[in-house]
Amino acid sequence: MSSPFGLIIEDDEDLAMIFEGALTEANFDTEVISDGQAALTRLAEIVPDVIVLDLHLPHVSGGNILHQIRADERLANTRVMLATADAIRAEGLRNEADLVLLKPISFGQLTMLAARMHPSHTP
Amino acid sequence: MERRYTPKCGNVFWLRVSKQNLMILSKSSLFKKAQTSLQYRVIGLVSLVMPSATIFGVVVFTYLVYQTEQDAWQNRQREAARSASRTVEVFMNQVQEYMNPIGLVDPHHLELAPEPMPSLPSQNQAPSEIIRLDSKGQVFAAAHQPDETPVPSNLFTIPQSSWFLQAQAGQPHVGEAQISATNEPYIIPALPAPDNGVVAARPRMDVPWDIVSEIQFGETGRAHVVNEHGDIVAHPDFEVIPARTNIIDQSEMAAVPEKPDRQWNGVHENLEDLVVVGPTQPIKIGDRIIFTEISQTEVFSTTRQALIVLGGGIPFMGIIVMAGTSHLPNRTILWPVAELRDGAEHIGEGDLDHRLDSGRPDEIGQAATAFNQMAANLKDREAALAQARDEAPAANRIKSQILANVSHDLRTPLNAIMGYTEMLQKGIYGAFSDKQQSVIQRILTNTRNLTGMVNKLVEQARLETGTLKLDTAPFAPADLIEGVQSTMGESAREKGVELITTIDVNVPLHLSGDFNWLYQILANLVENALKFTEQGAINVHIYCPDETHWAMQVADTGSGIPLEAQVYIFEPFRQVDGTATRKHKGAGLGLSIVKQVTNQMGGQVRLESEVDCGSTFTILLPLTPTQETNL
Repeated sequence: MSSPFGLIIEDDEDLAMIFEGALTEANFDTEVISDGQAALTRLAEIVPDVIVLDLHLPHVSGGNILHQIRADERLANTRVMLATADAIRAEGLRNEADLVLLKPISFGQLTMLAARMHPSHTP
Repeated sequence: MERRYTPKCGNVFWLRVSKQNLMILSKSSLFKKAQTSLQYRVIGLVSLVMPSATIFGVVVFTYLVYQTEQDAWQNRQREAARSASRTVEVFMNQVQEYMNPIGLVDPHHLELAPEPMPSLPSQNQAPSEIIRLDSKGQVFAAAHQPDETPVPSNLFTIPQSSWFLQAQAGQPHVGEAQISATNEPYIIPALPAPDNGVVAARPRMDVPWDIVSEIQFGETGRAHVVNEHGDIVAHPDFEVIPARTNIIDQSEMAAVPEKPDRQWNGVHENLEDLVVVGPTQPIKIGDRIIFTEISQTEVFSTTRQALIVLGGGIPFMGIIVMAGTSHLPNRTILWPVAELRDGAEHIGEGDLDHRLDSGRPDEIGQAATAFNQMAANLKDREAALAQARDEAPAANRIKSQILANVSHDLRTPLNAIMGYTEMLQKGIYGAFSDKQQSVIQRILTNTRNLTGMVNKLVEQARLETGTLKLDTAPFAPADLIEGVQSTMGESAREKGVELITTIDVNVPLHLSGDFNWLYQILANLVENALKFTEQGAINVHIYCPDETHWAMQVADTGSGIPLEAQVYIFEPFRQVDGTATRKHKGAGLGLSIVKQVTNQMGGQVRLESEVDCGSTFTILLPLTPTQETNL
């Protein structure tokens, strides 16, 4: 059984690296995309188990990406964790996201939550 | 939202005050009533005062006219009577002058020539007849006007006549009115003569008659002469004399001849029963008195006319005065006051462009100027408020945007610091010595503190901007307890403080509310308790105080909060120890957020605290248990 796949859509290099570390810690295979448009293109090709999605992204916003994910039946089982510092915008997306994490997000916290989303793969 | 964003508290306060002022100014019903009653009062006062003053004025004026008129008439009467009196005296003196030489004529000489008497000149003053009598009353010389019939010369009763007897006794006699055989009245003045005889004459009676008759003043004024017995001896009415009319019957005048000065003045009824007014005037020759009279109707004709004029004029003047009285206060005070009232009503209704005419140079004008200034100020302030109101949503959006950006910009590097540190701590990048691990832990602790403060600032800002939305969803209250225990239990143990969490059995398994915020509230309280408790325990207790509420209680054995501080610690950025040297750091927002969010949830925060004994915070919330048990 292959590892679950986690896609990290985050334009901040540091955070992307930390989120990637956390997901790796939770035994996820990871991929990082730092551009909204690129993310949409990539999402047309893959079906991640978990997406860590930032809201403020170049070209296409995280909110937009979330709408498209929810509109795509192919991605019906994909769990989306919003990772944002924008509490106000996050409020409006609460119902669409599986989880809203307000930055700063602890490494340990993200590791734990990611693992919970795929308990079978808990390390 | 706009309400919360009202930028300048000063303006808001001013507006409230102004509204109050306007409300007072706009109590129109009261104002109208006051104005009406003021008007009525003025008119009432004038109605009371004016008629009284007018009546008094009319009475005084009429009395003065009456007095003046009466005095004028009496003066005219007296003057006429005096004039008549003098004329009669002159006449009688002239008669006597005719008689005196006759008295000096020697009787013997007259006996020798019985016609020595000069023929009497036909002058008015000359008597009609003159006779010379001896001591026995025998006529021994006589003369008369050619056209006259001798009267006393032919009398047989001369020796018994009062005029003869009086004159013979040495007293001049003026004579009483007599009636001749031809029914003509006459008088016989008599003078004593040196030879014990008497000179008597019969003056031309038409002369004094005419004099009396000529006394005429006004239309009804006339005069008559009364002798010492009260008999009328001369009167314009020819019939009065032969009738031997006497004034004794007229009580008011009967006493006049008896009076020493024989003067009288007053109102009486004359012989024709006419009410007349008039003074009397004595004639020096004889005891005659001239009575003058004029009908009272005529005397008071001017007074009456004055009364008629005034009587007609009073209502007319009254109307003018009343109109003036009501018009003047109306114009000077009541109308401007009414305009002020209308103006206040306009302003009260929001018509801030309404202005009053401030052209008058008096206090009313000053009031109008002040009113206009007030209206102008109100307009300016309203414009400023409107501008602020219009700008508020924009400012709100900008603030929210700034908040989002700042929040994002602060949290992102914080997240990086925290993430890397955690990764270091977990040994992802290799192992560290204990000392290094200890430093890494300190970095983490400080980063978490900083993160907490940033979060609170953001939350406070969201509360202020009203952008905080609360969700209502079922949750298990036990999760609150567990969450607190799992996140803060370790910190408490490290500090040597026991964190005890309990939940009553009567608390429903599931409640409805915003779990994240309820957790945040509880976490804030526990965090606070941890901060101020050095030893002992922190008790976190969830229970239902009654059937309609549930509560989260955090009780510590910490330093406690002084009574005076209990008032303000729920205000943003306020702490018990607000000094720069305070021991416990923090933004001073935790309790403020707790209170605001609790209130937004429809709950209450209660605080019981005693210095050095500890504090107990209780969050009391409405109980809305959910049927959903499978969260």
